[in-house]
Amino acid sequence: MSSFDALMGGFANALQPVTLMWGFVGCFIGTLVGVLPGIGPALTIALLLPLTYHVPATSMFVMFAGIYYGAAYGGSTTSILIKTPGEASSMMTALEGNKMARNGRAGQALATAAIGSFVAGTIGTLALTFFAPMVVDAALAFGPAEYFSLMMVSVVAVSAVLGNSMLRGLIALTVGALLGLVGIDLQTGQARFTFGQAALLDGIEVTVAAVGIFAVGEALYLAWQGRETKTGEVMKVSGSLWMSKSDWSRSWKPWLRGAFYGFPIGAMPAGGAELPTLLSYYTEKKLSPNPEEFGNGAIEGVAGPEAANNAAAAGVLMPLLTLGIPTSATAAIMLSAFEGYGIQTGPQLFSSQGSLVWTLIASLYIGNIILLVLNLPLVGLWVKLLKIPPPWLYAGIIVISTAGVYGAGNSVFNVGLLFAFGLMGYAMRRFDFPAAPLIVGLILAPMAEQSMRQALTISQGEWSTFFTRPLSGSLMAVAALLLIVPPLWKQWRSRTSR
Amino acid sequence: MVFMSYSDDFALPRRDCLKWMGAAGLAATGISGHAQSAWPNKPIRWIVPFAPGGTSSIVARTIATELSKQMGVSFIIDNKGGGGGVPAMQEMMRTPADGYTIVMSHIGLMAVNPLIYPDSGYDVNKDFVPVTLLSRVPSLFVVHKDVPVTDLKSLIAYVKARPGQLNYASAGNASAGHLAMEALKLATGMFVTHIPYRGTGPALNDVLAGRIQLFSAGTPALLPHIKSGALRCLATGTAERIPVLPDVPTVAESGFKDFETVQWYGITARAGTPPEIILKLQQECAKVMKSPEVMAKYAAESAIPGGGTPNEYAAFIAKEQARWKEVVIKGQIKPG
Repeated sequence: MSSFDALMGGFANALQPVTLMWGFVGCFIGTLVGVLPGIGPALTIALLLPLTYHVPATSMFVMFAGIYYGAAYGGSTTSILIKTPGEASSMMTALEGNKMARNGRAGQALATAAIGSFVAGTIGTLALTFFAPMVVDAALAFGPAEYFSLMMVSVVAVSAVLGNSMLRGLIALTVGALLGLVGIDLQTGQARFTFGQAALLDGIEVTVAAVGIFAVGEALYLAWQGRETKTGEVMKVSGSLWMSKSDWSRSWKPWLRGAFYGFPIGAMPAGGAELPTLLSYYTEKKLSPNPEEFGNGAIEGVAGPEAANNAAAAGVLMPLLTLGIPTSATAAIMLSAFEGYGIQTGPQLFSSQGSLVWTLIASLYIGNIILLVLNLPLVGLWVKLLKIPPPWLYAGIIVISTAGVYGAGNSVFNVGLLFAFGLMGYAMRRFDFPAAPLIVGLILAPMAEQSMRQALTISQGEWSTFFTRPLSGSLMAVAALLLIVPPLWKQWRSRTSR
Repeated sequence: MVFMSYSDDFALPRRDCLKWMGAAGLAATGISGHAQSAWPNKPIRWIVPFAPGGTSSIVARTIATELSKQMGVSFIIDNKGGGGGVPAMQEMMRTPADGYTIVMSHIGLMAVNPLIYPDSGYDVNKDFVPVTLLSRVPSLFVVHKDVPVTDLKSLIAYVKARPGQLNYASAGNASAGHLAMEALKLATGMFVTHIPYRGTGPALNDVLAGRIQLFSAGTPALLPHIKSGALRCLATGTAERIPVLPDVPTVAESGFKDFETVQWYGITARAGTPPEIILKLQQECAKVMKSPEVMAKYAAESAIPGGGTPNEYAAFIAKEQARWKEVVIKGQIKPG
């Protein structure tokens, strides 16, 4: 097993005391900056990149792995505690984790997110070590038709977050989809719904919408509630912070399933981390014996998506290292970081620059472990945040959200957009519309539209391309089955139980 | 932030960080143009119309670091991506013409946007003045390895035998690759369908998988795959053959005279900036081109260094504007 020997060599390079110190620095910075809403790993790494050029290659890799996983993980903390997703892929965590926090189970939510991230990150890195060529082939097999079919599966999965009223949920989804169409149409170059604003040409940033609706909307809702009833919600932290035996047994399967979704989809060039978190959430809800707990703080709903998110972070490295294709903003920045050290990513990477690459992969394992070591003790500290009286806490959230959104794009327009979405989030909360479908629509609509039209151009207008291509057809079949079978099954069960 | 106190010798990232935290740094740059005699005596803000992290931003950052060292003032990179660069230029319009705010100009910004964004509120030729060309990146024309053609001639014959069946990918509407391919279609008279993607990565993926047959992009993205044999390079868009691919002919050599497509980047300032400032900046840039750091960066991407005079850059831009006007109009190129 030459991969294994090479990996051990990589560990020997990376496991030096000074190197580990850099790893801690990286994880610390990564987590801290990752905590700021709107500022994802991409910007964090871009800002810290010039700094890493001044440390030796191995130290830089470990530090870098720390920043990378740390930033990916940092978003879950704010999502759980204050319902402020640092990036779109933390949305499911915000949905379910924040409910857990309100039930006094913030500690458990943070713990299952941290351990799940570690487990999934490790699985992802293992897969990167041993299955890279296979996964790359599989990812290459995913073309526009396959993406569109995957979107159809995801649209069915949205049903998990529609909330109590399907009509309200679908309205939110449709509004989200419409907002997703704002900007220049990729295929024809036509500007749509931009009202002459150059800032809207690239569409509405999902992070701005998510932070606005979740965080600002929540703060406004709280303010309104305080005025109406004089009783602001005070979050309580009760009982043990640590996961109980039942928490463990409810978490481990979602971690594994989340990793199973996250890694391959993350490895796809247009996959991203949002789809796997949604699919993971849907799966956990469907598999749970108590689906009614979802939406009220089910630990599976945090464990699965959080694992999917981190496994996707590892998956993104796959096309980057083996094909030299950066599939996300973060990956593009990492590519330039690698180039700074003379690593030419691409097909010949493993043969031409073996030892450096294996050091990088070993660094990913180490970064992952450091992150866990650093974050578990911090759970207690983070939970104390909830003891801040709500008016102060939420005022702080608005300040942090504004600074984060402004910092992410230096755009005053986006700050205005943030508050527009905040008002919308408040109205939705007030009139009991679920927020998650809106954000999902905003993510899915442009992706689905784009891949559908690309597929149709390639097939010269043949709609059958979605059904005759084996992979695409299978995904369509899965979507159809998911749509049809559960209601039939329910009917059949209610009939037999009678 | 944490990393601010962490070390002191990174002027650039620290500045970035300041700006990023609350625009404190930016407020300082817009004050006045009094101190022209002593230019530069305060940090220079360099607007880069791309998101941080792309190849072009990295080039800008490398050059900015060297310029900061040479001139003793900080060059602050301000990434203002999106909207095809229009928001970046609109931001430029709000700054005084004192040489303390400059913008990284490129093929899209200077030669294509004026045609596809007529309502942008500025005129690139009247409201801005060229400083110097910084780099030219060769664009390559490649096919997937299973397409049975070896050169441009056989490609044209192959395409003409299969009307409407072949596709080419691009990194988006009005991207450099889209323009280059439309220019090639115009020159050769062949027709292939355009399929735009969101960025070079996803486009390259479908080309590598063989779903899309043709593709054009800059050298950095394509070289590894040409070397591994996954893609075949039929021609380069440069005027002369490039050192990294000595066996590949240029399009012009293949029988299409005067054909040239390169991606280029330069520095542009507001119109009205005192000429002595422009000249000084250009001379400093020419010096930077000879620094080992910049030369290494350029060599890694087989980019051709610039550094010529403002007049040379102006002439270059005028030539490019004429070249692309025809392509944009005949190819019916729209933004995206």
